[in-house]
Amino acid sequence: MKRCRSLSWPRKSIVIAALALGSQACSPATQPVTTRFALDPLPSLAPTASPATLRFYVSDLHMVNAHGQATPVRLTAAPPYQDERTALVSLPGDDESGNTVVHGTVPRGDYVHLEFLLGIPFARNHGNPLQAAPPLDRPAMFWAWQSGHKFLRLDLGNAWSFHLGSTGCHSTSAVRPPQDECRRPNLARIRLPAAVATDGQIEVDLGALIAAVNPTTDENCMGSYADADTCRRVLDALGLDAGTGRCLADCRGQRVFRAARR
Amino acid sequence: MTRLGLRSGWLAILAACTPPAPTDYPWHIPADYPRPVVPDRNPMTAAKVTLGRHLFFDVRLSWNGEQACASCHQPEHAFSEPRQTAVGSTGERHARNTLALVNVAYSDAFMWAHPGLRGIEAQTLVPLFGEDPVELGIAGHEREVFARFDDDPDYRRRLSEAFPRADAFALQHVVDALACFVRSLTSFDTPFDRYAYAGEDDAMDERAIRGLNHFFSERFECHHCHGGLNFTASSTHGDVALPSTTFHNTGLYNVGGDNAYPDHDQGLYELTEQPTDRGKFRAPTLRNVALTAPYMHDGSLPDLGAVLDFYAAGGRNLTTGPYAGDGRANAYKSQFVRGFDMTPEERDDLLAFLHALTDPSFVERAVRSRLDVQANRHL
Ligand code: HEC
Ligand code: HEC
Repeated sequence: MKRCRSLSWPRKSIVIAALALGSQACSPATQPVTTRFALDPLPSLAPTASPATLRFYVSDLHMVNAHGQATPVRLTAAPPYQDERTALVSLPGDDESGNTVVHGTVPRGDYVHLEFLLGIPFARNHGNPLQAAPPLDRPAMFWAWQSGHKFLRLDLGNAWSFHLGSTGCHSTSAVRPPQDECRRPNLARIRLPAAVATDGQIEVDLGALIAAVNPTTDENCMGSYADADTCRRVLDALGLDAGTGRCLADCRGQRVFRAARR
Repeated sequence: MTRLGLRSGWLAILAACTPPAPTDYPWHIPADYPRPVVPDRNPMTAAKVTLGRHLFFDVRLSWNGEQACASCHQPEHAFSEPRQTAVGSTGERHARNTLALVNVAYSDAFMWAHPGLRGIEAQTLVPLFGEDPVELGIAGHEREVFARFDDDPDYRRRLSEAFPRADAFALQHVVDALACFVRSLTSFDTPFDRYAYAGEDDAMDERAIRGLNHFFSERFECHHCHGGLNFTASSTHGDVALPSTTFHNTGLYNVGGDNAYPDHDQGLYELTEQPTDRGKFRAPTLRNVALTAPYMHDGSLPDLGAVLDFYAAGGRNLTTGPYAGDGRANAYKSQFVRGFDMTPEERDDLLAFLHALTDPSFVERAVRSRLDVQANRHL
């Protein structure tokens, strides 16, 4: 995998690029999907608020055709960063190891959109942590059996953190899984033009995500998102309503992930 | 299909050339728990663990014959010690508190703050050869020290069982055997494990369960740094190659209001020289933590109650002495240490939870293994 060594996070942007690469894993009936991430320029931050490290899970990728029919993208099992359903994207600011690419295959077709869930669906989110296999076995991306995984984790140095995950999950204790779906799933479904899956890329605009945040004075956003105005606005940037924990208007108003040319 | 055929043929050849796989080591780990990753170069065998155990408890491994690994890493204390900071074989005082040896096999970072050390083998060289401070102090005396074991028929037998091709002790044997012994020190038989993972609802009392819920709550925030199987972020298992090592400044010091820790130990900064790394240490495992007092890298908090009060205050304000300064206001302090209101009941709950992380069978095995070794010693 090629990495842009010269790019020094946090001054860059995340780009998801989906490109058609020749790969022996693909039969003629399928087309490869390779999704690359890079970072948008961030406003300069106080020294204590850098480096920025960003990690998030991407699940349930689909390509959608003009009739609105969604076809699942089958991710390539490639531990430690992805299994067939979920991938971990990791952009550490202070070291070079990370993962900026999600790859898989989809049946050939005419698609107009790429869709993915930012996070992990309920059915997978509260499995026995002892049996968690990569990429779901990262302690830093896990809260507890009851609350499940952190879907997205942004740490701005030691100044401010945003940890996104499901809230309102009920069970008898922190180490028991909930039987019913959490009250606020906080799963954003992101839809982007299919062109990003062929010759484009998707920028992830951290500036838009934290536009409402002053990292050196604001409280972290790590659970009770609806209680703080800044956290409500951070979720709003992802298209999520902090009060209900669900997409507002199918999350179409999200401002963080954006299609771009490569 | 030619390609597939070719590939499996190649695999068959490989298999024929590889030495037989070592017998599966009987780990002391429950069946459904993940196994630690062991380097291919030094697979676990019962014979190496046995040799390592004898070396670990043997004072002849120090140059002056005064100290064994176990002098500092004491079985009763989950292989830590009640001293505030360690004292080496020559009497030199170490800046740091002796770390417990609990589930180190799962670690991807070692010591209180040493991101460069990859693997227990590399780690083991530090106490053997370290000169600042001196621990076992064998640097420059390796031959004489290893000759003591070559001259001991019991050790020679154990050496040939552990390393059939070896005819005399060499550094590699000592290091590999000690590393295997340290890896064998696994501990999962606690009330918490029975409650959390075996589903025994009555394995922890209500107080401890409340404490567990506090521990994992956003209000107390402990799990942000002490998360996962071993209550530390520097722990991995399975085939995960991603280091998740993180180091944190918890606000213990703010010497002179300068965001500094005491000069003799600034944590991660000692290695990186990045100002923002001042005071950063690794969050150690909390398994068996009730046995490992005193606490923190310099042993400066005497008991678990003091640790909880420290976190509740959001750091430590030292008003007198050479290190005076308000650690709560240290600019490099982690955003997860912000302080919280804690009622006396909540404090008791958290203490009960931390005690539910004690594994009495681990300590029993540890103490017994020392007795075995001493019974076998011909000094
Ligand atoms: C003088 C006391 C002393 C002796 C002797 C000693 N240690 Fe240690 N050990 C320590 C201290 C103190 C630390 C923490 C050091 C640091 O963080 O810089 C430590 C750390 C360790 C660790 C790292 C644990 C972790 O979780 O990262 C291992 C493993 C270890 N020692 C094994 C050994 C072995 C094996 C021996 C014998 C060859 C030994 N030690 C001898 C005091 C000692
Ligand atoms: C910012 C991350 C962080 C948070 C949050 C945190 N810890 Fe720690 N913990 C650490 C680090 C780092 C150390 C070692 C610090 C040092 O030695 O300077 C430590 C040390 C400890 C120790 C001493 C361990 C030993 O062997 O000496 C205990 C006990 C402990 N923490 C319990 C807790 C509890 C209980 C909470 C929640 C109230 C908590 N921690 C929250 C990072 C954290």
